Amino acid sequence: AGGGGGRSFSFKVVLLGEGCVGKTSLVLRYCENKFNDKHITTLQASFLTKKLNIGGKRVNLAIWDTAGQERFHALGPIYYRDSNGAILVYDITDEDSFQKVKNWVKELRKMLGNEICLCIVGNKIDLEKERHVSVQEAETYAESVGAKHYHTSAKQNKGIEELFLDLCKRMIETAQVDERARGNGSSQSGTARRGVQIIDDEPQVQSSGGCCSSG
Amino acid sequence: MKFWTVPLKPRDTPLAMAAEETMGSSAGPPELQLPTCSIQVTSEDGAMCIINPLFLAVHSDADWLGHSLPPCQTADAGRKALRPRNGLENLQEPGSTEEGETGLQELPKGAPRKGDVSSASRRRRLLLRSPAQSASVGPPDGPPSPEPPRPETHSPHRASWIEEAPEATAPAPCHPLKKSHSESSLLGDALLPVMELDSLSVSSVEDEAEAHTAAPATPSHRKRHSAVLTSKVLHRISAVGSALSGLLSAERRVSNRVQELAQEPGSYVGGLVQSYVAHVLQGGAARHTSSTEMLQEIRQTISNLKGYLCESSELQAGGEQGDTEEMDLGSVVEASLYKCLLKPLRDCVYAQLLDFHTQDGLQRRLHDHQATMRKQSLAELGVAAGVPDGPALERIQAKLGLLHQAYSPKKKETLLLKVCKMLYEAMNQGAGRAEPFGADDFLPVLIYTLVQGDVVPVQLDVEYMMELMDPGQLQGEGGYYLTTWFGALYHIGNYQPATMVTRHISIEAQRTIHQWQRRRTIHHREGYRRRSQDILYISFQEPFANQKAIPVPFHMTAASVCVACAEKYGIADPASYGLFLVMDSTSRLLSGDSCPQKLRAELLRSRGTSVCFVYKLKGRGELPATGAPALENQRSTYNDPA
Repeated sequence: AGGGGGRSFSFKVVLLGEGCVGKTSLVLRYCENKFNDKHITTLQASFLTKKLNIGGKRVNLAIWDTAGQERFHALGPIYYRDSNGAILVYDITDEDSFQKVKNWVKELRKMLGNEICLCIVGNKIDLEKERHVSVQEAETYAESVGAKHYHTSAKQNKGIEELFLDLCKRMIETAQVDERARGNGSSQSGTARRGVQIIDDEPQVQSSGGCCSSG
Repeated sequence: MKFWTVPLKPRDTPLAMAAEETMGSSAGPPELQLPTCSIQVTSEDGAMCIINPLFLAVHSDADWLGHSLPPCQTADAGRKALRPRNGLENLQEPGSTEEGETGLQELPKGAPRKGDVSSASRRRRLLLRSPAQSASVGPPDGPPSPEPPRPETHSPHRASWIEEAPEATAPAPCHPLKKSHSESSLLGDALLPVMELDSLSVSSVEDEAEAHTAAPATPSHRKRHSAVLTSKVLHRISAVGSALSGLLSAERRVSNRVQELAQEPGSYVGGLVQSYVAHVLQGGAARHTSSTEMLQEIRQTISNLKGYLCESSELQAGGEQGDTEEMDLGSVVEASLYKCLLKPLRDCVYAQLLDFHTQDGLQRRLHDHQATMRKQSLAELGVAAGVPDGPALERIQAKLGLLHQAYSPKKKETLLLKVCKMLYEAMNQGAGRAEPFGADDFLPVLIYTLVQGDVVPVQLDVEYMMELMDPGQLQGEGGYYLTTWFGALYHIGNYQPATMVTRHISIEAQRTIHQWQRRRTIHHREGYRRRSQDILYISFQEPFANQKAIPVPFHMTAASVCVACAEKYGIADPASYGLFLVMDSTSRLLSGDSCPQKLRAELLRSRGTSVCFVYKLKGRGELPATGAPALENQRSTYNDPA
């Protein structure tokens, strides 16, 4: 199992949440560190990538945006399949959007179990005055489902770096635990080595369940 | 490889110029400059055309220029000569000279015979590499409209080449075409320094990889040389030629090697490839119970061969293999395998896919819902951004046509991304807002666009790509947009206005998606990352006797393993052999659709015992896995232990 420096990880993170809660702005802010007011860019925001270096570990993030409209709810699974992390965004001024996050959490846990790192994000804290989802309620809920809660403002660029950094660290941890578990679980030979040759027509001496040839 | 090009002054008739070039004289008959019958290239019409050297060869013999025919006749004669282009293939061995290449035989509207695609695409590659190709002859029938390509008559490569030029949006391989687009630089382009040619051409790795036939192709190209080239042209040719010969890259060698192996029935790879292709073409695909199953079997075959080729020594005979090259090796091998397997199978696979979806009703549902959704307003469809207008829709349809024709999932992916880009452009134009669009906006526009055309072919394409693409590629941008397309089609296929607002996924939808999700996950995690652990040792007749290492990915079925075993052990009668699981001195026949690697992993985990796989004659008193005769496709208890 690897924990050493120089490792590199590729993670897929899916963005879920109702339309208009600011998913796109959030991720754009993170990847480009630009929030749209007048900025013109040809970059599109449905699929974004970001490279990070966390304590010597290189992380490649691929961030998948999803369409948040109700009518596309059924498509969720094709997006969150294979995801290492999910960012569930709601608008603190919109109670409904928080309800929607709860639905997603339920579904994700059901479909993917605990493999996936969940982040619940209350966005638009710049509109604190119009808050309709109480901080305590949101944080308690997050804790109850094994998710972390974050407060962000895409507009003011608040909390976004922390959100992603934290998520990455958790995903690295999960990946390493997963790796160790797999290493112990399968008793046969450990790591897949590069350059292991298939010996085509030579009879093999090992038993069939055995390990890779140690050549 | 050599070829020649003809410089062209703006608004001069290329025929005249070609003649000048050809005859080493500058005395083109002035009448030929009449625009009515001349063959022109303009950047407006976007056509960029190449003189058919055959035409020149034929007509220089007939010395039509010397007789200064009326221009109309000239063009007419040209048309006559041009029309049976492929019919002339057999005339292309005039036994003429050794040097010089006349590969530029493209006609904008001439349709190659269907079977001629490979040579056509070969020629196209030559074209792509050469910015000097600006010497152009417009189509005889006036300016070509950017009509969508007609698959029946146009080779897909040809069409893409024509279409690519005006857009010049393509990232990589087609860029050089832009150059030849400007009239004013036509002459300059023709004289581009060789170095630039080189730098422009090396980038087209994908084309390189496809150029597997290059070795045999070269001599035949040489033969097509026309005897009338002047020394000036010859000089230029050899300069360009030497630049091109430097392109025989490592990738190409690997690619060539894979092709060679695949064509050798005696080799392991060749045997597998050929028997598999024959098997599918003879209707082997029809036995599957679903389209997904059929495609997955093909994907497994590709993955198996790829895994084998990447790790065997067979490819290393031809060249160096560094650690850094290993990733490249995978994709080169992958592309070569597309050519070996998917190219011959594409049509058959599509026919099968259509069959499946006619039977399961998806085709009809798509048609019906498409009709319903076409009548809806943009608001009803949830579109908030701009949508493609008429001409943009036409361009998109043209791209979709190309996408449909391509056999390589990679090529299809590239085209799919181009369409996405066009959609974003339309969205930006329509909405006039600066903020980049996310999925909330993109998906409705995609759905709107898809229902404007024929969704059924797109459905087949997406399914084809989804299952046949390298699973390792599904995490990137291509994977994201492919997923979005899949989602859009799923939405169309399951569109129900009444239940549209429900919060809950239908049970059926959930099940379908869940299965699919699981499969891809397993593919990705197990199939790709743990490639080296995919080797399964299989004994022959008796446990631990005459073992062979067989690459068996996690999802490879026992039936496929049997195919590989029959090949390895040289079994003449594979039907009477089966794959057995020997454990605790019992022996069970595995059903054809069970997955040995999965079984092994499961048994290791649950019992901690090691098992042995034996390939042997059936019917020796063994216990069938289910207690009943183990038939192909029968689900056994060992089928899916998870």
